[in-house]
Amino acid sequence: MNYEQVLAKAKRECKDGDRKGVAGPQHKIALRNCGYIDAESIYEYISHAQGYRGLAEALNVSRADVIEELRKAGLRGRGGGGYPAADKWKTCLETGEDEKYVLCNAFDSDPKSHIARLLLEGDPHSVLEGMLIGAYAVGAGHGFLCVNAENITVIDRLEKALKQMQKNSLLGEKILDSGFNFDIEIKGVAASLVSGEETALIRLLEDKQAMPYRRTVYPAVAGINEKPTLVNNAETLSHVSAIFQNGAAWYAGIGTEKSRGTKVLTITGDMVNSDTIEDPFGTTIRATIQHSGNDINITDIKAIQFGGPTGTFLGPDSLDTPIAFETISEIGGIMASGTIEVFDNSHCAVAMARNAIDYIESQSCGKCTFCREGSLQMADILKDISENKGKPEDLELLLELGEAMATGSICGLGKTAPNPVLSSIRLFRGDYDTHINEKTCLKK
Amino acid sequence: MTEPAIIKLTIDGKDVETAAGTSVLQAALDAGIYIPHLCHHPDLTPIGACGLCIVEIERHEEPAPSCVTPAETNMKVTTKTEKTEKLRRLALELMLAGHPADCGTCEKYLNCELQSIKQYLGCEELSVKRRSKLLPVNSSNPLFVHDPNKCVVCGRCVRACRELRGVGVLFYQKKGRETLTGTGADLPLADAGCRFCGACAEVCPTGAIQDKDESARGKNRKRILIPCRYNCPAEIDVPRYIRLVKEGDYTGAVAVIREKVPLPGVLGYICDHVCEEVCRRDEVNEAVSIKDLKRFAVEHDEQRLWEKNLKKKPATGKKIAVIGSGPAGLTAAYYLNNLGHAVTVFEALPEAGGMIRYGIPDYRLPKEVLDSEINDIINRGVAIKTDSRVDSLDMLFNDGFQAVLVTIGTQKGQKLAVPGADNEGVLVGIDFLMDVNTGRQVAIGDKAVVLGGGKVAFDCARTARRLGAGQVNIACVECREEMPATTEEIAQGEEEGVRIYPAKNARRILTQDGRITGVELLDVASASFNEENRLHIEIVENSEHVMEADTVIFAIGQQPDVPAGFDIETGPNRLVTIDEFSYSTSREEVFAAGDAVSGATSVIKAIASGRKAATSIDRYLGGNGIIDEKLITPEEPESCLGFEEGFASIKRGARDVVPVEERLKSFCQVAADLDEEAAAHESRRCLQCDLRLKITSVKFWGSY
Repeated sequence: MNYEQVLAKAKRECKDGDRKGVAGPQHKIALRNCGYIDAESIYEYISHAQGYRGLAEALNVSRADVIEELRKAGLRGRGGGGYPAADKWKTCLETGEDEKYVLCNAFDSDPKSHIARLLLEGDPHSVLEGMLIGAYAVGAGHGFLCVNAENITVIDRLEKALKQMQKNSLLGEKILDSGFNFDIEIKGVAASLVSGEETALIRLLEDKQAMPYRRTVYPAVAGINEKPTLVNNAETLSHVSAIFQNGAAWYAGIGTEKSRGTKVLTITGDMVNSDTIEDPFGTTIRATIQHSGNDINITDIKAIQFGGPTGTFLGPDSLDTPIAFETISEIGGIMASGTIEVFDNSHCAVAMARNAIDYIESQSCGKCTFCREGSLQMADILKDISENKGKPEDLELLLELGEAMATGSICGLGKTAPNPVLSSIRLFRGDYDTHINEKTCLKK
Repeated sequence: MTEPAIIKLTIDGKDVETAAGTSVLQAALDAGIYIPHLCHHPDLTPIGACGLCIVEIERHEEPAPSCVTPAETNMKVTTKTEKTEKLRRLALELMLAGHPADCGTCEKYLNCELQSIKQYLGCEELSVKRRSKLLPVNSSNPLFVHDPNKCVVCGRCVRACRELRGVGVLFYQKKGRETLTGTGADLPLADAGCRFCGACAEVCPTGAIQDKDESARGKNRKRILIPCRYNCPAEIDVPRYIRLVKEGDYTGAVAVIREKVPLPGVLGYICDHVCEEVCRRDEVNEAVSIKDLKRFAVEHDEQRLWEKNLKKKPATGKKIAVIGSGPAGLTAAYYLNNLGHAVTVFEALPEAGGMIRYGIPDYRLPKEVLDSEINDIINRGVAIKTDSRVDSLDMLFNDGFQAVLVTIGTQKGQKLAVPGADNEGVLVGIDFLMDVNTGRQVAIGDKAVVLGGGKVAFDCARTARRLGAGQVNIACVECREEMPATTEEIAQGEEEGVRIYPAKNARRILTQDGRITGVELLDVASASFNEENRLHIEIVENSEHVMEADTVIFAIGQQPDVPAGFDIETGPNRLVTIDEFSYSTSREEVFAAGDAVSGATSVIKAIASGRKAATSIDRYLGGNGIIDEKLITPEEPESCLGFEEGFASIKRGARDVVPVEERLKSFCQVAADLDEEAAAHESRRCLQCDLRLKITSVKFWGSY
């Protein structure tokens, strides 16, 4: 079937006339359909939500043109790195290989962030359509969708979705009557912070232990079994489908100059009601927290940890920073999962740092010396300091360990692992000094 | 622009050239520049995990791990800067933090890469906190011990097992806070599918994975690690020929065997297989049937590759006489002939073969096998003169022989000097066997007692059963465990109705009216050989008892029968004395080898002795003594073994033997022939211990 035929069929099959409820505010892109359409009906996605129109548009133009359109949109990866998606797609397209893969990283490694899960439970096709567009653009024939193995609902919905795609010329051979062939495999991944690392997933798909490796070339050039592999985050792909449904010009008008589009953010921690919201880049941290309906007293905030378990602690003065890749990194932070955790004044920074490093140490895969032993040493030092057994040299050692981990670790987890500890020392030296010199805690 | 095939870069100011695709570390090491490393191993993919090989590269912001950085044209690398030394040192300290502090008590002392790097960097005090990992040491597996407290998580074992061997039973694991390597679900190695190839122990840089046998680390590790080959008196390359059988290359296997011995078929039937007694597979479950595989290969060698590749050297013009055509003599004759000498073997008996023909019954070795292999030797150019007893060596020298080799074996069997021993019903075992093997009529009664516990005793006993003796007992001074006969012979003998009475000493033979009625025996409390090889027996007081018998056969030992005309020195037990290096006797041009020198031993030992004598004689005659030959092009064995479910529990194939009733009717062969399936099954069981020594050794920093 071609797209017109599929669309006509979808309209026939839909039980309801239109989307449930009111269409969300303009600034929802990834989560645009979540809650408004039946996640288990491909027909509602097609009929009510411009579903697969993006794919149809893409298939009408050349691969290079698809990538050019993406470049105009200015999409940056949402997996944490913020790498320009079009550059990655172009690199992958330009390898001379015949056998290529698409790897959709739909694994929420940050335990407090549920973006991929929400997307796949609420609107799986927005991600799947993005995968297909990417696959077409780079010339891939097979895709892997990596999800948390424990999430049965997601896997169930994905299996249904794939079956429906198959029935409607959207998967397998001759997709939408074009020459494009593609199939998708769902892969369950054991839960661990390191499982979200792309190189770990590549190893897993090669039937090896899911542990990161040092790459000398990008996966787009050589990934699974040394074949070019396009790795994109699920959130990124949901943006891809939106871009091709609505046009690059529309997308480029949202967000900031260097960070186009929106970001799903998770608000959590003290004083707030936990929420997941989506705001355009450029929205300040303060505004985002307020958008989630949380009206908090700024003076009660001790710190915010931005970016998940390895995010840096930021002081209350960071609240007016616009959220975008360039602005967050300017203040020494990382985008990562886009989780904003609020800490009120009841906390001691040493305890905050200790919790952070304890978790990181438990999640380290153990392969490289600096992360494995470094995080263990840091955890032990933080334990000593918090138990009032710390020494002034300990802070120097923490800095030295942190530098080594940032330089010498194999993967992003190890490289960013020192962030919470080192940023807490920078911001709250007083808390540390009290423990070390006065052998007591400010918060007791 | 594509990278050229040869990359030129600078490391520490030195110009270095390397092939495209080489890492900076490998390029440096190849050029003799040492950069500390642990997780890197020349045979494994680099992973950049340990942090030690850090270098600074011009125009690279951060120091990079050199093992995973490909060398690029015009790269400028500095291996030691303030930054690299700080990071390198910290990496080492971090590894040492959880590592046991005392090097001196560790078995890996002075052979440990971690210790070596610690010395190189001069690292004694740690700025980080020490801890004890308190992980349990696992000695419950055969052959290998795992001590995770010493593990530095270099990951070499995981890579060696998965990448190099294609097996993959070792994984990274976390136990509490500590990372280590181990099997999935902590299964015992055998259950996890381990192939016990030893690659993990070979690549482990510390004492985390080691061989249980301490000597596996010493200078003579080959003997311990490949015991089959290095305990074989002839050093046959056992793992290699088993591998060839496994691959279906039977002619190749025979060629490998024949590189060391000229009588492979004979050995395949009757060798006492020391190799099987020391086979490492036995630690896992049961030894490999190495002897049977040898036999199988010989029986299935259609192309005779060995023959095509044999090279005979040009004639030297020297003539050598070999006296005695047993295994030692035939072997020496064969090699000396290959070296170009004219060899004549003088055999007193009507046919060649010595003890192999006359001492070993047909049911253990079908004589066609021996005939065929003797023919192979004759076809190479060796002249064998049978029915030609030699009493004087001077005659030989007068006939123009330049050297003589005495390999007359031990044909004189002994009787104990006990009352009744000279009765005509008392036989000497070796003479009895010779009579039977030459087809002479032998009078044997119904109740035979064989005195002795070795191969000859069993041959006599089982022969007696075949000749119709209803009751055949073996009585020997050794206890069951110490009996020299092989386990197969003992088992088959008992199946055939031979009853064994170990730890018995014969005091006298009882007769009545000139006929034997029994043997008076005493129980033995202990029996041992002293330094002069004399037997010292402690008997149990008042333990006399009589064993019924009408025939007594002594099989308690043999001695050589050296004719006076040889005019050579003999020593204890009438054995010929030789110089242990040159194999020459008291007469310079007369050499001796085999049982005549060592006393009755085994065919394989005699063959090994013949090889050494040949080497020596060739040198004496002006040659270089090199008898080794290549009968098959050396092949590079496949290092990838692959995962095989249940590898460790594959049982040794049951030896099919002809049913007992069949056996006793005649002297037909007892051991049934192995078929291809059985041979494939058995050869697959081999652990391939030799592969481990092909893994590249890591050079310590002192070698750079």
